[in-house]
Amino acid sequence: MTPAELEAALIWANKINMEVYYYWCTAIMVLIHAGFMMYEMGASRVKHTLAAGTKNVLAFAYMIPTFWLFGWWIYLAMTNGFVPDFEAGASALPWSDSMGPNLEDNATGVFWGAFTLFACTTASIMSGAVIERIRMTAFIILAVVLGSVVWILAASWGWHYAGWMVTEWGYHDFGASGVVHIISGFFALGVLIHLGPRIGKFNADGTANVIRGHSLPMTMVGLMLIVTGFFGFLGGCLFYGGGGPAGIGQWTNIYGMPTTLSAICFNTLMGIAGGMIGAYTKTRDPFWMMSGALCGVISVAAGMDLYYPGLAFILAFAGGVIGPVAAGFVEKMGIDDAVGAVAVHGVCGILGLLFAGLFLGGYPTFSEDIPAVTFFGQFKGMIVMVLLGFIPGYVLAFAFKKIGILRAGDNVQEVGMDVEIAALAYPEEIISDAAK
Amino acid sequence: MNTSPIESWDAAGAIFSFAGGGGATLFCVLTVVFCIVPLFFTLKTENHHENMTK
Repeated sequence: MTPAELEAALIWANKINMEVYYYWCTAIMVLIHAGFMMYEMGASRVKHTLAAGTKNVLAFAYMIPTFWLFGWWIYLAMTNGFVPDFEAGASALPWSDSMGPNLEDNATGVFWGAFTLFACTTASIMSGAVIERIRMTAFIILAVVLGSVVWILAASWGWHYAGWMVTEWGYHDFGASGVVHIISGFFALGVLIHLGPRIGKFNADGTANVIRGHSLPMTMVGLMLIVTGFFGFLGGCLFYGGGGPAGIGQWTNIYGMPTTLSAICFNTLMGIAGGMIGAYTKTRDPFWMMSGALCGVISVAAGMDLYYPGLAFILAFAGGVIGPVAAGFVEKMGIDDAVGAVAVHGVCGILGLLFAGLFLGGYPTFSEDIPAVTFFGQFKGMIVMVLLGFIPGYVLAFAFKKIGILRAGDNVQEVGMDVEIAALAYPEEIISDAAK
Repeated sequence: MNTSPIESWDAAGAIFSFAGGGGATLFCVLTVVFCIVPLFFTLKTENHHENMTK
């Protein structure tokens, strides 16, 4: 074999390995969606169970064609802000040669697939918050706007090597604390303000009642599936093998800075553990212990490519403590967030960005023209993410409320949202009166 | 129906049915339609149950 043939063979092997890697990251990320579905169904009362699950599955189903139609184009074309770069986005138009089977393009399909699953995750984050009273049509449209427009616009700005937040501020968000979690959490908050609480959640004096779901074990297993899926999610945040000799071999983050899969393994596990222990210490509640895993990993996600594992554990512990406290604050404000999505994703996403600003000063970026990570850059990025998530959710939910398609009527809620589903979750005789 | 964009596998690029032709655009439009129309049926079902439970 000549040196030229050897180099060609290496390049081919690298290309195929890259394809295999993202294909399986995408498959593992489907577990996040399976987990959210179980989580929400368990957190629902029996009469709403199937509506919660169906809503979640339909969000998944709608995200895929809409992300193919325009989501991927937004990512490639909108790096400058609100003015599209049509040339950069041309290959992402749904009728372009790259957006289907193409023997000269091993990358687009698997990258599109991974990003589509990130989009599905954003919709799932909102989905749990609004269970037991949102109407299906409104939810699907909100999910499509969140997953196929808003989050991917945020990703184009702050999760793309040419995004304006990266090139102007040195914004660093390795594991999507901002672009996925803040965006989804605050979009959900905007929707919840107009959606209103479940019937019976708040008393006349403003105090809150606990509405228990029908299966905490189902919710806990769902959360464990989400934790499992995070390995696909965070593994998919790496860029495969483009940074070594001859463009082969070295992992980089999405900004082109070298890293390793081992780095992500250290800090994903330490983040999960810190969050679980922190939330359990704070609440002694199994629901929050499992949600604490999410609080922890989201709190360290932005900088997990660079943190010392001991630091990641402590930051995640803090996230696990702060998550349930923030959920209590949201409830005190009269917002009924059925699963704590605003606190877990929105507030812990904020922590993730600010922690990276505090602890990652001094690291060089991939180009001398790009500013280094600073607390102020991360802080400004956080403000952008909060507003970009909140405003569309608030405005769209307001419009749906005005035309009367946002919230199910009280009678439908009393009978159960499952009245619209042509099936029963369980044979009635096995359900105790208490669970009904 | 001949939908193949290629006559040989040598140096083939885009190999999906209708690649580079008007058929791809047509199916894009149909994808949009088949996303939107079910929403109207869903809305109709919701309204039906809203009225039925009053």
